[in-house]
Amino acid sequence: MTALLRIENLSISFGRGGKTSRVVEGLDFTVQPGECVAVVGESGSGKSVTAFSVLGLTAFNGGTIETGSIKFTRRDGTVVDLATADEKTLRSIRGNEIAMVFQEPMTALNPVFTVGEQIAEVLRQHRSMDRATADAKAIELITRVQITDPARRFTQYPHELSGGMRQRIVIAMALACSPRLLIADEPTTALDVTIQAQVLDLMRDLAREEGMALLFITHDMGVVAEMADRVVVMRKGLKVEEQPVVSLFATPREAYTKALLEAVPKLGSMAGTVGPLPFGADPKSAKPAPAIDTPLLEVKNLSTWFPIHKGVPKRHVGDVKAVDDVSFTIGQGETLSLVGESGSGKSTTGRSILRLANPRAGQVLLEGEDILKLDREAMRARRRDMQIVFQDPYAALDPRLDAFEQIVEPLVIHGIDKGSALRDRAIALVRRVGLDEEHLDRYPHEFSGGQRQRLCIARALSLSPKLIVADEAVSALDVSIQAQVVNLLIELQQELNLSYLFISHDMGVVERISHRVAVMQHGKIVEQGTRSQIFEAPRQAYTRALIAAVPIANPIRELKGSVTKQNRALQPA
Amino acid sequence: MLDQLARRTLGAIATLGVVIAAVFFATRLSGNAADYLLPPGIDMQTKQLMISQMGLDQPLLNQFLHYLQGLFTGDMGNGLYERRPVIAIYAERLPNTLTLFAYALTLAVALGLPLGLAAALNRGNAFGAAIMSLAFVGYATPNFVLAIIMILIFSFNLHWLPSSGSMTPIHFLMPAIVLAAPMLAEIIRFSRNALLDVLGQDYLRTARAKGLPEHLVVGKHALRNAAIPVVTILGLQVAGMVGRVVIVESVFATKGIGDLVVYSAIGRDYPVLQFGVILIALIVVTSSLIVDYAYAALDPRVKVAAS
Repeated sequence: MTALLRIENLSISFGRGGKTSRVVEGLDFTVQPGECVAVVGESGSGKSVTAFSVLGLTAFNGGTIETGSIKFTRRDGTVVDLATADEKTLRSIRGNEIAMVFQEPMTALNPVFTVGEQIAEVLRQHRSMDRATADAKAIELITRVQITDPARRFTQYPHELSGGMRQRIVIAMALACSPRLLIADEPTTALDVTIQAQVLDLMRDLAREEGMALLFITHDMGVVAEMADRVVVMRKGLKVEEQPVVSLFATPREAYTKALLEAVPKLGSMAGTVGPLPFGADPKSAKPAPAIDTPLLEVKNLSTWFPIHKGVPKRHVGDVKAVDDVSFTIGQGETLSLVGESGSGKSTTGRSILRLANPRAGQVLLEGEDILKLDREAMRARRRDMQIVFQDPYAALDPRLDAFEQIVEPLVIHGIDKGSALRDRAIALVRRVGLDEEHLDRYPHEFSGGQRQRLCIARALSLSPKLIVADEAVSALDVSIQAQVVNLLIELQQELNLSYLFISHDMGVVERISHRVAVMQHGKIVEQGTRSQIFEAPRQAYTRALIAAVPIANPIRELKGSVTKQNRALQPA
Repeated sequence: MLDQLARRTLGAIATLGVVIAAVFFATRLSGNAADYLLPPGIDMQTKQLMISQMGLDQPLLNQFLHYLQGLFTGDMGNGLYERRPVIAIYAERLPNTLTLFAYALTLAVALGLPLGLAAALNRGNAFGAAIMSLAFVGYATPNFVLAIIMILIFSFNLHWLPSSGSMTPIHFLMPAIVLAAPMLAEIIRFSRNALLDVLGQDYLRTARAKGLPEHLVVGKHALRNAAIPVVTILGLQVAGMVGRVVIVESVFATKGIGDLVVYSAIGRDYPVLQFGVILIALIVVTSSLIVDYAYAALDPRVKVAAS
């Protein structure tokens, strides 16, 4: 059988003149017709760059193919080298024989055209259909990706659809011409876990029906286990190893692959332990949960609503009940995780507790004092005790301040230290989070994502807070970096007796870090309990659906087809 | 979206109302018109008579009500110098200014957009750099300097174009070019930057990945998105043009409303001045309203951003 795609000795570099850097180096792999090959690696491994080179889009990204060939077998049996083909040939292949699904459904669609038009356009381009035929086919495609009310969706704009729906539209667009190869670049990374499960199912089913090959780019080993037949592991532009998926998970040959697999949170691996457990630690070393009878934070019947206005003049027509009658407590040195999908109100809850959003009712008692009743001055002083770490470490640091200024700013604002004492304190803080003194003079863009999140943590720690709200604090990080940051948080907690409100949609990480878990849906807490109660004996169907939707890093097929799908059937529409 | 546009329209009307009131009271702040209008040494009795004839002896509130009434009935009174209806004076002048605006706007957009696009697509080569240098020169040259240089070259040396007047369309050519120059420069710069910004967006990558030819990728997917900030600039530029038209009209002796307003302000000719300022406000408010409507037509997200 001739390979559908054969990549040989591919090297790609970026940059011009003297400052070029190779991001892919001597890469070889093949994709057979109908096969799913996953390319796995962390950010900067060159996996996305490889994907774009297959579409012949390297030059548009600013890169150059230095050596090698990308041989693709077309529908008519001829073989073209995509690395050297002219633009006209490439254009007749793109969207037609090779299509692509992107990571960010929010930005992959053009905001000023209807989604229907964006699908129909592909058909008009490659199938020379007239407008009416293309539109009818587009509606048919929208139906195929399991979107309800396709005729209406056809006329809607991207901003009117949810993230999951947009990704389905991108998939519909990719499928329009029944391509022979579908490239999926982290297609579910930006989606909620339950939506991710649905989209993965959809892609697998469609690929099977169409006999389409999949080139799947991801950093998530769980997704790899669910989707791939064969896995190519990449690191810093080089292929580390290549194996069929089952043997890769069973007997990884390279240390790097082993480390990647280690870092994957495995649901259920912590059954029988009580406290948080660092990645790679022995389950028996877990510390017991602290006593809850000395609560640090008590949240009682908290509600935060956002008003909806309509008409001229603006009338108040209703409210979005982002947080609706939510109550929980966090003990000293305890981690409570708040889990749920986007829009469930978990972030607003975190922000309300810090009074970054304005709750309309309820109490937030910090050591018995209702902070919602404090005036400006008193609240400012109280903020010392409560700090926040945000999701995106790129956006949470001021790009024009160096690390030292970022870290000591809270100390200066609260008048705690000045002069040379500041420097000493900053040095102690960065060392505490695993950075060096020399890092203090650098600017945010000189740090990696993981280092930036460490800086954010150092900044939060500078005021010796009692409570840290971690709002999706590790969600934007690579899996191995994520493991390191989670370990750091656990370590800091044990040392400083910190309490965390850990807001996350990632059940795997939540299982690692939590003492207790609260599940949120539509602004309410639907279930709350100790970690083992939630993970080992969930009572609510929604909680079970959240857990079942997590891709399991175990590639044994029977598991995938039956158990997970059955569980997924439970989830609410 | 209709909500949003209705709100904008109401806002525009309210703005106009504020301008109308502000104009009336502001002109009264600058002193009594009679002192400037009447020749020195006039006897008191004649002076009183003139003042009452012009209605300047009435209480301020009465004058204001009279002024509002006139605004609605189209009777804005007589110009204090020309002694004929204000409406008639403007009926003569306004078409010239509007013609000038239309020429300048057409010129700036018709040249500016393509040049901006060309500059974006040729970024980093000599052609793109040449366009941007041209735009910079256009932006940095004061318009009266440009006007005088153009008169020197095209009227005095080459005898191609008339240096002043507003009789035929050819008379408007030079003033229109001078009026358009800064706007043209601005449109080039903004459309270039907007397009460059859009060219880096993910959805353009998607468009290319679909196999669309480059003319559709740029002409369809990029252009409509890039047009959104450019429309904003157009609205601001029309407002700026109102200020520049005063100078341009005096240099080229175009009989428009620009120099009329200036002279009426110097001479305290309240009726003419008031109506002139209101007209200018109307032009500015209307153009920003058009910009809002254009936004809504270009960008389906406007509805969301407003709520």
